[in-house]
Amino acid sequence: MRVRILLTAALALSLSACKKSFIELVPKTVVTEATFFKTADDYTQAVVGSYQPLRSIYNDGYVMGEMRSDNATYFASPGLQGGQFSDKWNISGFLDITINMNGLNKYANCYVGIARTNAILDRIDKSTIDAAVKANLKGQAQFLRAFYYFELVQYFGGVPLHLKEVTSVAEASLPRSPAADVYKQVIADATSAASLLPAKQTTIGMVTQGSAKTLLGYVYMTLKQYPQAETALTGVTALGYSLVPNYANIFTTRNTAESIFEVQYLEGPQGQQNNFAFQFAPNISNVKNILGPSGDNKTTGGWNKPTPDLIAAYEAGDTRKAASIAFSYVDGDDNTVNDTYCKKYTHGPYATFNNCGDDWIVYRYADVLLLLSECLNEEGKSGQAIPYLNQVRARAGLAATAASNQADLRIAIAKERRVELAFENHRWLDLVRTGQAINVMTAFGVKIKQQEPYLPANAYTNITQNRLIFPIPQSEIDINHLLTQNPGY
Amino acid sequence: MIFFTNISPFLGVRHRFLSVLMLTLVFVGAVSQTATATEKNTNPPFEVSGKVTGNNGETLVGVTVAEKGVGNGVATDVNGNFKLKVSNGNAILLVRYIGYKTKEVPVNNNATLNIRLSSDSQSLNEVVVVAYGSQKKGDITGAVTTIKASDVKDQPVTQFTQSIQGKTPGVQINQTTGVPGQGMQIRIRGAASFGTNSQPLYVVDGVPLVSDINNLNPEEIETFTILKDASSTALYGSRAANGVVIITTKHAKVGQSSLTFNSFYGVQSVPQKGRPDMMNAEEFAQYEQDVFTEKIILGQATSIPVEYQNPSQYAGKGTDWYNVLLRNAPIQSYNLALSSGTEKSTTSATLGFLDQDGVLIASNYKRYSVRVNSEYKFNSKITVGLNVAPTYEKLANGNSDGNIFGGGIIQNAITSSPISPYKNPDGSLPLTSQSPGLFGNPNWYRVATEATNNTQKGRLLSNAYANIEIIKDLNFRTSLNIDYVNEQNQQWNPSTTGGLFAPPPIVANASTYSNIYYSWLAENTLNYKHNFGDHNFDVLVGYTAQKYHQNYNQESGYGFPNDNISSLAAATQFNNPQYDIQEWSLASFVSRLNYNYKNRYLISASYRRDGSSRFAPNTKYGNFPAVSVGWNAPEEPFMKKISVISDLKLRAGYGVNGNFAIKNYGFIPNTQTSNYTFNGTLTPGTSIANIGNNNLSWEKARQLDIGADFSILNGRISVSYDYFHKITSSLLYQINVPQESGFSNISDNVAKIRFQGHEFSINSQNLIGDFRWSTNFNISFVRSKILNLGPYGSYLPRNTNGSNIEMIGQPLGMFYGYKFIGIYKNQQDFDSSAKYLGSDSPSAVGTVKYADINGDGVIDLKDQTFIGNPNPDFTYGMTNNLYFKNFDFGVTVSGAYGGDLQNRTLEYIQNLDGVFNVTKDVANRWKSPTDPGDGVHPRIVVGTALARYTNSRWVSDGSYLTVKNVTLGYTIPLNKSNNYFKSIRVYTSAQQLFVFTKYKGANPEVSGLEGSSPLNIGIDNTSYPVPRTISFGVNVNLK
Repeated sequence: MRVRILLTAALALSLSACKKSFIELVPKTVVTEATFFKTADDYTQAVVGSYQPLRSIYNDGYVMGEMRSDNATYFASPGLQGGQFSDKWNISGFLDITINMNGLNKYANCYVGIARTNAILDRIDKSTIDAAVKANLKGQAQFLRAFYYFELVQYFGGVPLHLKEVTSVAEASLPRSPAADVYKQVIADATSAASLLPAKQTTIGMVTQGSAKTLLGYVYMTLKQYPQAETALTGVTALGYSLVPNYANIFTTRNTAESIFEVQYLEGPQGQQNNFAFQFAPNISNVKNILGPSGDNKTTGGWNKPTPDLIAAYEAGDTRKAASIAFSYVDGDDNTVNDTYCKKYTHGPYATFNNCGDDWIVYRYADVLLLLSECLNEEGKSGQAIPYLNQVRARAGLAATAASNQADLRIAIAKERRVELAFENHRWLDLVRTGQAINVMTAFGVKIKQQEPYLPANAYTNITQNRLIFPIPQSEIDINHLLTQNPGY
Repeated sequence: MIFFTNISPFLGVRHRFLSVLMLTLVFVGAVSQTATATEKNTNPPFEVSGKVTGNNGETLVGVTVAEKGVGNGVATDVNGNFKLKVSNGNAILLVRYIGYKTKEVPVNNNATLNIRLSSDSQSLNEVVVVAYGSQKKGDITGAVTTIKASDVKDQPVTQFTQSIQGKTPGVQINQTTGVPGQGMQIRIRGAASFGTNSQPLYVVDGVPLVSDINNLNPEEIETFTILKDASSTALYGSRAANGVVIITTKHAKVGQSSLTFNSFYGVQSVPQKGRPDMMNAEEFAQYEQDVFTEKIILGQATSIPVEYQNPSQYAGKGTDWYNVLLRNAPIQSYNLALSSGTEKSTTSATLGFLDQDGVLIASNYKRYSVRVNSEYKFNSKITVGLNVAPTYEKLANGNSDGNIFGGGIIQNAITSSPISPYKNPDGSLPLTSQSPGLFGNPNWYRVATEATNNTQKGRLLSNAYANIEIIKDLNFRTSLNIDYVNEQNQQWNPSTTGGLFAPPPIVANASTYSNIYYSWLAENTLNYKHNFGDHNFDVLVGYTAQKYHQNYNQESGYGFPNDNISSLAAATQFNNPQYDIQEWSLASFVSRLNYNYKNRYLISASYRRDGSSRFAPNTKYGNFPAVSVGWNAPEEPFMKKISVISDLKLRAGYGVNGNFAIKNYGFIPNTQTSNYTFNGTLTPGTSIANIGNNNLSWEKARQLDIGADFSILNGRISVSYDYFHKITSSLLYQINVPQESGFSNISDNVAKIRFQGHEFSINSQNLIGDFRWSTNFNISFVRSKILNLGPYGSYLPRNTNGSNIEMIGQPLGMFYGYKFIGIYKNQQDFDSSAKYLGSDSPSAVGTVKYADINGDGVIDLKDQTFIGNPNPDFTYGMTNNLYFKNFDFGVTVSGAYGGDLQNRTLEYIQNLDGVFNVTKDVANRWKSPTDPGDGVHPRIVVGTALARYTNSRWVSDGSYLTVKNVTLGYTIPLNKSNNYFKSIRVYTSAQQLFVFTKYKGANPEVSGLEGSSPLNIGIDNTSYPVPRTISFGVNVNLK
């Protein structure tokens, strides 16, 4: 009997294994691509997934956006060596080489976002989901693709223009497209997004018509196409945004009336956190008195330190200074230390080391007002420009601007943007857009090396036209032989 | 019938297969009705006794003496004597012994018989287990080595792989770490693969295992057969590229019954040699004083901390962290084996218990094992068998390997401050190990003793089979096999523990995982063995199906009320749990034809077709053919006269096999969770996770083997030689794709590597008779060369401070970095030499000087070059066994010559920033142009990072010779009339007795593999030390 059972079992098993399906197994814990992209919910989830790379891009976005500029530097950190530190020091001091993890992080994550939006845009037109839902989702995907490409073209110049989902190794490598072509695509996507997106989203925090128009405004400003920029930015002013009365509150509350587009984080174990407060806190052995949890911050912190130059740029009585910069802290041994750090994103105490949930605002209404002011001034409409500037100054507790002619006003607007938007990743791109980067940074370099003697002697000695964009990451050049490196790297 | 409509891939065997199956079913039904056991129990009226010797008069122990046709056998004792009751004075004795010709001896009413067995000519008739069957040794045409477990017994080891180190040519076995129950790496013929496994396939009693081989109780094993070339492994198809190790477990023999008890107790200790030579407290305080003096000059410090102001106060005091963490530890093993066999049924049972304390404090390994192998003969046609082997293992705190950032506690501890005590004078334990200027660290003693990391693993290995002789010489075999593992792990880190840079109190945390996996395998084979006159045929066809399933869950949490409750149940915060299910399946057809003419001309051809779930639609099936030929010269008439030559065989084989060790579902584009947050609410998101690859396929290995076996003087001296040439192509690797695609890599078949080598072994019975001495020596030469790297061009992408490089035209894993040529002694030397200008650590007087390989006057990445070759020129092993009267003595050594090692621990223990404790020789560093030191160690504090980049100063010759085992045994003479014992032997055995090497690190065998990736061979990161074990044991054979 035993023999028969054994034989029957063995034969049954091996015969069932004869079926071809026996060796066709699919994952049981994940959904395959083949079964996804069917329902409106699938498409919604895909769009949500396209926002995700923003978190990574912004977690170290300040390195290229602020530390490259005259707003921020870093704390002295004797004894620390290695790429995680030197890559940031090098970007700050214009010493960066083609291997740099911050540059690679921005490059790679922008393309992760682009690939995700491409997968949606390749399919959504043919899908049978509800038309209104479709328009909204398509608008969001187009906005995000435009946003990621705009980020790339500003920081790296012309880049490979992938507009279809990559499904094989052969499709993975493209040559760089001219910057003009990238801008053309960004404008096309953002324009379409502006027409498809509602002024308000049911899910607060999803991008809106205002986000798309602000993006368009920025693109046109960068291209110096002022009339188009004026149209886009003026359009934003009609969408019901307003300035938050107290400047500090912009950063303590999510998605305020002033917020147009912000990268959203969540404190806790869900993996949605940032660690801005820890990165920007001093690099001391215990940050419990600053941030809450005990922990050695030597290898995490010490970044985005306000420069004396920035501090001096605040006018007397400017309420933004105290909201942006801390002038002392209590160290782990309960001693008070008089030194500065960026506190714009520090709203502790936090429960866990390196785990914060403060959002990062990408576009807000004050930013649009100042950009519109800049636009009008460049168009020669200085008179129309001034009220927008003064609106922002008034909120900061400052009197109306004294500037009246175009040249003075240009300087006044640039300074206002610097202090209003300090540590919000606008300064470096503002300097490049307005053509001031080389002059300003060269003068700044001489000064800061006197003020902070720990900076390397060769820092800020290579500020040239070539350094206004960053190198294409070396690992990409190594694999995609169609790519060429930016000159000077 | 519908079952068969889908087996078109196996077209051609369909009809034969079907008919056999039908026939079998009918047949089994019939015989199982009629088979009834009838055993005669006669009263033996005649007793015969005597002695059995070999043809040279040597005593033969354990020879089976049985009455023909009855099966009431006994085994000869240690003096070769036997005593047997037979049915009558005209009975015939059947005398059997492995390696000797079986002899039938008529009793003829003699009460005493002295029997001489003649050795089976070089044991060519010895049966060797091969893929899907067995063959006479003389008929084998592939490169196959067999080791009998009885030849490697009594070693105080926990894993069988330790006991066969140095025994086989072409098989490099390294003990890469001393973690109890772990760390053995086997590479057959240099097998290597980039992204996947390079371990051989283990087949236990016919079952290709999916679980770890390490936990098999060595006492359960009867033989190891190592299949090295493609012609002998090709029947395992897509899993055979790294070679195959076939293990057979102990089965009882007909006519034998025995009860044995084996046990040993040993003490393990870490030898002094190879321990890191760290500064003591006084030296360290002086060193830190110098560091702070330098920092004051640079404005990085304002004063010398009080702890370092008076170094002499520490004379003779301080903490030796290596000693704090290590101990002498006991190991003990108990095995009870029962074996009983009649013509009708055989049963063998082995009970084992092993308890090994690790030499690292608080580590321990325990194994409880049972194996029962039974076989029952229904009648002369049908045999059924059932093997059941449950095992339960417990490993406590074994995870101590790894470099300083990987949580390797030993490396972390030795870099900690020696002036920081691990225990206070009042007996309390400090929370931290901290000294001014050093990174904050926990007290490593508390980490080792208070953090827990426990794994329990239960395993069931079982197979049931039936063998049916359908007609004479035609056998059908069907089997069902299970390999089941249930692994549970709990980790607990109380607030008093922590890690490098993370001194306590930390947030107490706990985690647990459960990993349950199993595979079932069903096999049906049909075997026809028949001799048509001088034409001998052995034909096999079969069909097998195997399926693997894995269920993995992991949970972790923190927020414990205090350190008293370590259960995850007490956590208040939880991290995202992980759940995973993995499956693979393999359906295969196997076939083989062995043919020989008069045993002179041998030919063997085999073919396997594998269909695997792991591979893409375009490559679902793989074909693995092989063919080999042999010539047995002594069978030629003209050779019969040359009687001195007892064996001369020439063999050649060629075959194709594969490596399927790639992740499951790798070719399918999946989606992944990509959540985002909107306005403080976690929102589910999804994205495509990977690019699909419809061409993803096996790694293919094509191998040619040419060999010869030669023996003279009736087998007293035998020699074997093999040459192999193997091309591994379509190597599986996660290749990087441009990230502009939105993805970073894709699984693909890319590279091509060539391996070739020579293997040589000699066995010699140097002395025979009462004083016997045998020697086995083997040596292997393996060379690898990378021929192609697919889309990567000339070398695989690597971390610029990585240790190894894979470059076309070079052997695997070459060391690559800067060439150290000294120190910039003074300003003049500095001015006239090439310099490193990087902002991270620009060169300065007193810093390390690297060679300017490209001569451009600047030291940069372009000056990295080959700085060593981790591949040994050759590996070797030698075993000597001596027997005299009641004494036996054996020595096994193994070694490697010519491979380099890279001691990356030096990156930390010779760090010059003053943040770690350092080796004593750092005291002889460069201090000033007038005190330039030993020219090897650069200055402190300034420009120190450069010294930490991969450079030739870390590379040294890793040649070694290890005395793996020495055993001395004594068999106690017993009064034959005692009622209890057949034999008692006591022995002492020493494992890892001496390591002869110039290498300064602890374990030259790390040269095998770090992890299992050949991309990182020869790297020493201060692994768990391999202890020396001195043991005492006993073998008791009960009546």
